[in-house]
Amino acid sequence: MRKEIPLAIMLVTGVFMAVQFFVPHEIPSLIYTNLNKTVQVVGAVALVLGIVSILSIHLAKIGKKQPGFGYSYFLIVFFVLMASSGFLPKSLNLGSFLGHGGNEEGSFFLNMYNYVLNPVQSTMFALLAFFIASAAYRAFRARSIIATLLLLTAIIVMLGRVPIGPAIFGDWIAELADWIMAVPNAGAKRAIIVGVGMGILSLSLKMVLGIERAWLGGGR
Amino acid sequence: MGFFEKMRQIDRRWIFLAVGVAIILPFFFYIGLPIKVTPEVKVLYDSVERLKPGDVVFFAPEYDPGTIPELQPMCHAFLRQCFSKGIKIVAVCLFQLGPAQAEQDLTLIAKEYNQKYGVDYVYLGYKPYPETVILNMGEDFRKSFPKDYYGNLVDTLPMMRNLKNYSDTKMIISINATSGADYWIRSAHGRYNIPLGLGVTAVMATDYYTYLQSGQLFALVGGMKGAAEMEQLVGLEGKKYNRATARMDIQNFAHLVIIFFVILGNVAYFATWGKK
Repeated sequence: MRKEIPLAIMLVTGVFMAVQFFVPHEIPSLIYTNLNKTVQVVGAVALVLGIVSILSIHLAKIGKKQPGFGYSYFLIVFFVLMASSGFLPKSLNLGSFLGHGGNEEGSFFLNMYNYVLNPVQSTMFALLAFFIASAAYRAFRARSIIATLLLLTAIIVMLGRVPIGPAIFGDWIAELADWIMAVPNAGAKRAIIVGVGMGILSLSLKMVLGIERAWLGGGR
Repeated sequence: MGFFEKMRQIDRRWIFLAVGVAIILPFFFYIGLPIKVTPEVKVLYDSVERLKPGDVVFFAPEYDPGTIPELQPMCHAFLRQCFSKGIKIVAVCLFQLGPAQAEQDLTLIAKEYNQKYGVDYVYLGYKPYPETVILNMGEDFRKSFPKDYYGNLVDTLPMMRNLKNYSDTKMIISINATSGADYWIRSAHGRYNIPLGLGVTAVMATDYYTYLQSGQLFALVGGMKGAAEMEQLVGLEGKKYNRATARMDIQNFAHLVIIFFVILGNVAYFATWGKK
């Protein structure tokens, strides 16, 4: 029964979710909505697991004074600060520097977002430009025909997608860049998407029909 | 050691310096090269222009601070076009790092056009599990959002009284820095057949041309260039209305520097071919 019941639930739910898409009636719609809500409930439980997991890992790291344990203090402090900032009541006033409760303009929550998260994330993302330039210098070599094609395509798209390309070489470079995006790029992408879609479909069918059982766990 | 051998082993800090200079210089010298508007951006602008005052657009600005330079200008340009025409906005943000950003963008542009909360625009906020929320909103917005971002009951907001689900809106526009863009295509357009337009980062844009051609998207605004095109179409004068347009100068120089180094690297590679 430990296998049969989950397999039966999977079969019934899988078939129902596939069929209800084509049935414009309120009862399947109601069941479908409630099943979707169940996903959110399961997700909320997973969120608690995630929080417990990340905190226990970093508390253990601090306890054992493992290399880099100082960063764990930052993680825990800002985790608690950021999470608790969202729960503060509107009426609470923490002073003009920290702001008030709630999530509106001037709140502690928005101050944390604007003056901690925002600059940290922007800095991390901005650094990418430098590393991409360095990586491009070292990696983009015309070592083979395929590598040369990639190199030329990259240069054409980089020039064609900014105004300076057409300003130097004429409109043809922008048109060529647009063609690369719309024809070879979209064609290759479509092939990947359709391939992945077919893979998902076949795996889903195998799971619904009970052929693929790895998700049951156990291994025996 | 010859020049090309030195170039092959160049210290990456020189590359960082060159990129840094290329990014900083355009802040002081505005060039403003003409920006050609592409059809995939123009169609978004034209679709909004065809709407009547009072029509409702469903809007999902889902981006975090890391993508502000690319996505915020297109978000602001779009909101300015809508509010200037009296088009109402229902907004959500289903990306966990974006709800505060979306709230600030909406409030800022709404203030510029004296738009009243609850009457001209509504912000429903964030709920986890985007695909499930998108599907539920297709039945009724209240199923996922009985309350808005500020804790008001949705039914107490005048604008929401006649709005049940996507079919009461004219289109969905998602400005998205995440894989959540796929959910809007798959679950909002795919299931409920609502016209969907996307604004994404330049890196993401390559992924979505295929959906544009298949008709699953009616518009695609890609990266800072797309945002600059939006600003050109909206046509407001002044620096604060044209931030992406101004930043295109930076992108021009940065691209030129990277291309210069790629060519230099290849010349050095072939010039020292066969040498250790």
